Amino acid sequence: MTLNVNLAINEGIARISLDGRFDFNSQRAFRSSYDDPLNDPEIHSIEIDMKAVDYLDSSALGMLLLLKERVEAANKSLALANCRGTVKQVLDVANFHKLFTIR
Amino acid sequence: MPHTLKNLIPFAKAALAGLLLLVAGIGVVVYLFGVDHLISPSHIALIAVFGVIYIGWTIILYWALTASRHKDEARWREINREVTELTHDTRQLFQELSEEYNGQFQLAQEELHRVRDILSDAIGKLINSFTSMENQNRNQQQISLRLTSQQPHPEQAPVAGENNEEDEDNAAPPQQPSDVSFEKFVGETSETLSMFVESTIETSKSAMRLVEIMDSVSAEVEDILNILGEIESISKQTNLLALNAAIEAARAGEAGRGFAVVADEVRDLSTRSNQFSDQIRNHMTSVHQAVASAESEINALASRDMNFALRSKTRVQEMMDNIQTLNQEMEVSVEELKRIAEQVAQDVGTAVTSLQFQDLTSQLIHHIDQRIGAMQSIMSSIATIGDIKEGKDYEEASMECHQHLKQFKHAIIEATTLIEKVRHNPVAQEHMTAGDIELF
Repeated sequence: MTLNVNLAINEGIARISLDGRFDFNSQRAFRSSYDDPLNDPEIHSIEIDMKAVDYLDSSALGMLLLLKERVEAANKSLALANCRGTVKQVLDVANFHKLFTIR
Repeated sequence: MPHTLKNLIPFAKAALAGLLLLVAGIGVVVYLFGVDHLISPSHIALIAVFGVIYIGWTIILYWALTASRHKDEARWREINREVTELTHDTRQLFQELSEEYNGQFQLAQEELHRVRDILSDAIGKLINSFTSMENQNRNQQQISLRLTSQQPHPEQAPVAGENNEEDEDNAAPPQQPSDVSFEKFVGETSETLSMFVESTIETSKSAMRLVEIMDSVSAEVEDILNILGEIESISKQTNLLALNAAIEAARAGEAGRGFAVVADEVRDLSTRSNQFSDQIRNHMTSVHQAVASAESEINALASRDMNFALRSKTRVQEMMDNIQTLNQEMEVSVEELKRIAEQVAQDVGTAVTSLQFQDLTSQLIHHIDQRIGAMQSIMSSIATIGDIKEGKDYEEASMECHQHLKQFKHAIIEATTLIEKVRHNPVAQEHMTAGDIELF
């Protein structure tokens, strides 16, 4: 089971929708999804839609932290959207509400 | 008075009466016949008749008086005997009564003393046990307070017995440290968990960075392999060129001999270059494999299921809730214990106060003792009412009878006076005890 990644750009906001199991194996798919928006000067904000994520482990959290570093380095903003259930609990236990804008 | 002389008294009385009668007779004669007739023989005869009458009268009177006296004496004797018997019986009755009462009084006193001893012993023990109960109660309260505070109070223990107010002041603050120590532990656990989660995520982050680096290494290796392909094709072409040159040199014959040597050398170089290229390819393949295995290691390192953190967090939260509930329950229990202890202390105090009735009872017992003593002395005084001896003759009998009645009356009066005296004595103290009894 792999993670399906879908990128949609709308009015300077890159919306990356994730679907499935967010773990180590989804590293390449996830990384390739944000490489282009990061280098696009037109885009000022990146939003990760977690709605369809049914599982995430520590490597997913590590990936999100890496993304945060890069987004900040590129002077853009980052937000996590539609965090519910177990995903929300894991983000809470990792204190991500202090590091990320969570919607 | 001698007995014989005493017997003559009635006779003298009779003679005196006869003489008086004689004088009266003479007087009557003188009055009727005049003094002149007194000396005539007829008169002398008359006087003689009178004399005879007189003597006879005297004898009759004497006999009558004596008879009357004997009768009186016998009656008096009878009365005296009865009085004596009565007094004797009364005395005997009083003596028996006195003995009986004294015996009973003595028993009553002994029993009273035993009651007093039993009471004083029992009350002493009761007061002791109540006092020790109060102390135990206080200790219990201290222990419960210490139990909830989880802190020894070395300075509190000896002072504790002095007053309750201090205990109440100290009761509230010791609650804090226990909360702190429990909650501190849970807090530290929570902190440790957070740190662990954080470090796990940091590790994952570093691992993901490493994976990216590995990816770029893989890409570099890919590039090198591409370049190697380029080199191999060049060396292949060089080899072909060298082969062509050797063919051309053979065709030229003797003139191309030197050129053939150069062509061989070039071909040789091409082969060597090909060998190097193969070696590099082998190395690069190893690097590629190493990177792939490193990536799987990193995968193992970076991928941590986060549910452990969720479970631990839930457990910590549960523990927090439990501790809070426990603390609340403890607080309630301590409050309850305190209330009970206060109630017990109050009850014990009341009991000890009530037990002070010992003073009153011993006072009352003392009064009863005194009363019994008074009754004993009354009985003794009644018992001393004198015995009366039987009189011998008429005069003595009547005299003694009077005497004895007087004595009896006197004794009764004395006894009554004593009773009066005794009655006034203990009554005076009764008012005092009546006032004290309000304590009950």
